[in-house]
Amino acid sequence: MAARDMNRSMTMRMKHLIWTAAGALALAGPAFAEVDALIVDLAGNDERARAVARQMLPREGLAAVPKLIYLLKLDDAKVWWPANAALRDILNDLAQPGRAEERKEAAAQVLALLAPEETPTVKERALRLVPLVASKSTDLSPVAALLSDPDLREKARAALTETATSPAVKALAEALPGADPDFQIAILNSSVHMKRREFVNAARELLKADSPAVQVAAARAVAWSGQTGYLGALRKIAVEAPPELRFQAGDALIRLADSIALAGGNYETAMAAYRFALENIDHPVIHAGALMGLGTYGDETVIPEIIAIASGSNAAELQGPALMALEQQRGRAAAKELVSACTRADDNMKGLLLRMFGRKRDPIYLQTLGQGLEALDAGLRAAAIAGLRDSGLPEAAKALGEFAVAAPAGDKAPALEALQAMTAEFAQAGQAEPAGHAYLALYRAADTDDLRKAAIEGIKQYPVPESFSVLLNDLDLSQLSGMPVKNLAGLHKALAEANRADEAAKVEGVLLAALTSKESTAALIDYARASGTAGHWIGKLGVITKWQAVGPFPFSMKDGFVTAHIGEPNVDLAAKYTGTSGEVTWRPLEGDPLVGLVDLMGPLGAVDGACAYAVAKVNVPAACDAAIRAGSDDGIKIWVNGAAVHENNVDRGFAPDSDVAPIKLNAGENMILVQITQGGGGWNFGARLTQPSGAPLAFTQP
Amino acid sequence: MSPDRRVSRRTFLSWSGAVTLAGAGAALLPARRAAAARVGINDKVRVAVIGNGGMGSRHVEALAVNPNCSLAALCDVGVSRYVKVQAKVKELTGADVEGVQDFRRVLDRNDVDAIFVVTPDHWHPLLTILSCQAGKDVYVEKPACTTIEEGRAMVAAARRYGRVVQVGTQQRSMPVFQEAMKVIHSGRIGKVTTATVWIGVNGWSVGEAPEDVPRGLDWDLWLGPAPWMPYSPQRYFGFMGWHDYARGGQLTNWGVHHLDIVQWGIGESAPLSVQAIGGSFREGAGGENYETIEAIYEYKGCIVTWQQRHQDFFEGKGGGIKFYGTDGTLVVDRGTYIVRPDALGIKEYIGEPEKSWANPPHHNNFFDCVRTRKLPVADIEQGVRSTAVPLLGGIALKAGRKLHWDGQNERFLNDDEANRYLTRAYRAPWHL
Repeated sequence: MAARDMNRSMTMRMKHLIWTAAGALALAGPAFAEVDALIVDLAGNDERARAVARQMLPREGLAAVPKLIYLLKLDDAKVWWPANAALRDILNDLAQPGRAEERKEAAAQVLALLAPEETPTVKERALRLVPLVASKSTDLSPVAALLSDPDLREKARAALTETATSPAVKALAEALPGADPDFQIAILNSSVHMKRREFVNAARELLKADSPAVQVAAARAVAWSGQTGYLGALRKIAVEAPPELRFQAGDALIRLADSIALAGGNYETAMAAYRFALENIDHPVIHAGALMGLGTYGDETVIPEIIAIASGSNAAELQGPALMALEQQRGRAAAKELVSACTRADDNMKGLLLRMFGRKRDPIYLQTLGQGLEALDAGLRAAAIAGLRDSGLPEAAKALGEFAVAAPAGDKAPALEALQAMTAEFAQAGQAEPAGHAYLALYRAADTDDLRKAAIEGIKQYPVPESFSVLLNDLDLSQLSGMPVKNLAGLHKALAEANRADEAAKVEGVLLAALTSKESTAALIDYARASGTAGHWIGKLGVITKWQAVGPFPFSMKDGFVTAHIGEPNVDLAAKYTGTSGEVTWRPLEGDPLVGLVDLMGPLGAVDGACAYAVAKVNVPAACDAAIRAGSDDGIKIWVNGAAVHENNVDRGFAPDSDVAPIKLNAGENMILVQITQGGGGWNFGARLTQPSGAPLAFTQP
Repeated sequence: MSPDRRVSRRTFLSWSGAVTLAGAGAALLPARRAAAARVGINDKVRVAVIGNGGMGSRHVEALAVNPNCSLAALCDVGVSRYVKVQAKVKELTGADVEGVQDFRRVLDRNDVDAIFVVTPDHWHPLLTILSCQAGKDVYVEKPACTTIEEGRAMVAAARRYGRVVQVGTQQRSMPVFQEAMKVIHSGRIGKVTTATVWIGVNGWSVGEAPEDVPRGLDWDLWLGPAPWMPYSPQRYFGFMGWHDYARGGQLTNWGVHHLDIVQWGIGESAPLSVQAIGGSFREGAGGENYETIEAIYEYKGCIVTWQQRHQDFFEGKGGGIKFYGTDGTLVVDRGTYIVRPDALGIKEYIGEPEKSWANPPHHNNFFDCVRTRKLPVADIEQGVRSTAVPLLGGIALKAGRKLHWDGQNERFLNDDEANRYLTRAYRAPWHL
């Protein structure tokens, strides 16, 4: 009850004060009634009205400033606090372009609160408004004057620090020489916030101060400048600092070295500063800082140095930072040096390096990681396993799988776990082939049925040719459609090796019918060669191997196929022609049995800007629609039984099935004529015949 | 003599003989040689938790039973807080853990490898930096910093001394967010052109009533680098409502978490511009940090909005993120993510319910990094970048105008006035 009475009494008194203030301050103008009503509401007890006043007062701008300042001087937090908040909003608004004059007026009113007759509390509140209202040109001498006031100097320093205009910097710099050591340090720390050149000059004078603590603060204040001229002084301060200041003094030196390195142009100077810190400042964290500097800004030549320091006696605590320093090293030269230096590191450091090598995700580290699997020390083997896993490289999964097959008991589980993690990562990243190989490796190394089962599921989802021998037991041949050619070829191989001839024949049929693009045909050829099954596929692809060829004749790619050199489309195999190098006649040429590739450069010579002709005869039992699929280096024109069916005047290399053209074959003998152009480089071609769908076409050559 | 001078001197002079002997401006760290951590690959990481209040006690409870670490010390400026948490540890593990009031006694210990900084926000930067300078690795709660300058100084300290520093943006370690990111990065909802963060939890008590400092509380140390103010329970218990200790309230409290996910999702690390409006309209004059905020961030190819409202429960969720792509929308919070339209064929993901804000997988990632020295999933650089976003929103609230941000140089373009908010003065003797 008593409290309520007191509140009521306070409110009445407050209203009286506010009305007085409003009358005194709002001299005239249209804003009078609105501003004053809001001011009264803000200081009142109606919480809704207070909320509205808090929101609306900033709209009144400069007109509300003197009234809010009046409230700011009051003791009641319920009044001065929201007034302060509204005032801050207005001062922020006045900082917008085009309101410089209003801001200047507001600044004058705020700075007037620092007058000697105001109370310390009011001054403190005003000081916190200064950074909001001071423009670049605002005279801050009222704030500067408080730097010599023992009770307010800290708040004044903070205000000037946050204001950070030239007058603010000047005020602090000018206060520096005459301040006591404690306040000198505080001002020097302000200068680190402000990072202004003029302050560096002021701080320089205190590098030789009587107080070691001031010296250290001054050292920190100049360190960000990156000026090499301060190195001598900072080295001296660091070496001579008393134990309790040793870290901060060394920290200033490291900061200066960092800023020199970042500024560029004085690389060796920065490196020398780090080395000086390592040799002369007895503090492990400073040593860590020096190592980080060497690693971050140095080239690969620092690597042996860092490893030697971190591998030395009593240096265990430096190994973490040393490793992080080494991790900053980039490029091939650094990678080679890291691999080399790893052999000289102690086991703990070596283990950390192996983990780091994994994180680099660079094949250059694979050999070292693989060697780690053979280490005598179990910790190193564990690090190598983790490194291989982290590398995310398909080759790493292979190495892990091979290791896991015969790994010692303690290593098998982590190796399998790492391999399993890699399978998931490959799968999530959509890397189907690495995923398939990793699942296969996991299957081969698995030591439990559950793991084998999980691996098989992965193999099914990401099949690779080598994995089909695993899947034969639950093979579903109705699922072959859409399977990649490479996988079909692998499946075929697995079935053939398992003597399951009928199923192999079915897969072969699906596979051959799937050779409808140059990519799919190339995939089969690549697989056949890599897997040693090329012999099986010879004669299955419909390649034309027996040709008669003649040339070279002149050819211009610019003009295209405009000149008939042999009277094409007619062919007379007994005729003689005048080619680019004299008389030429038809000669037999044999194509590669798997791909059908016919080389022209060897038999006809290396001639640029030329062309040649080749003719082949094929027999089919009955007339049929067919397709000719050809590749050429460079361009090609094709006639079938005298009719031009395709031409492609192009500069390219050979790939099977690059061009496809529909053709009609007659029952019995058919003549296929091709013209192959040569711009330069390789000169060859190849062609095969299929049904229009791509399925095999039976034919013979005489 | 002003109160701030009186109290800060008392605290400092009572700290150690070394300070007195060294005279003016003595080191903020103790005289003894600080220890750099070295943790073997199979060692338990020895941790100390500084800040044992609400969030700190959650961390302690999780850490006490985590086999990857051992609790070496508890620390809080309020004795009653660490005593309470000591009792909890005893109950959970039977172990007695030392409790101290002054963090410098923790940083000075050779048997502490890592520091958990779980204090009010205004202490996060300095404790992180001092811990790095003491050779400790650091797990610091979000928001990482209260100004851009502090954040940059934190990154510099971590890099300068080769320390591992993880920020407590634990959503990076939560499967629901990891899986949601995979959906977004796969392109299945198309190009994300808009993202919205909403939060329906806000508000602190308004006003304050200064009181005598409670026994066992070192108020001056609690204030630390912040301007000196008399003790009030509203400041101590509701620090998040005050600009000196938490710059943004819920904007920084939840904003760091969710805007971190936004930046992860859209693959950006800084906005191009920001504008914001806000207020506290519930009652009276409101707190320093607004209750209701709408902020708009412009990113390369994407607009991001922050919606801080009373009682915003979208589909029963009190907060979360909506990513709007050209082909679909993904809505994610700590429990689930949902993708629309259904035609995209992406099933709702239902994660494990969050058991505690202290997230063991996030802790374990930190411990793994302490051992292997790799960068953690919420490395300080990333944590600072994610903290910067709500901080920029807070500055735009004050400036009342659109601000253009240079993310490379971390400065506002052509706006010296707004740039003043990127730093703050520390109360002496504290400094970055």
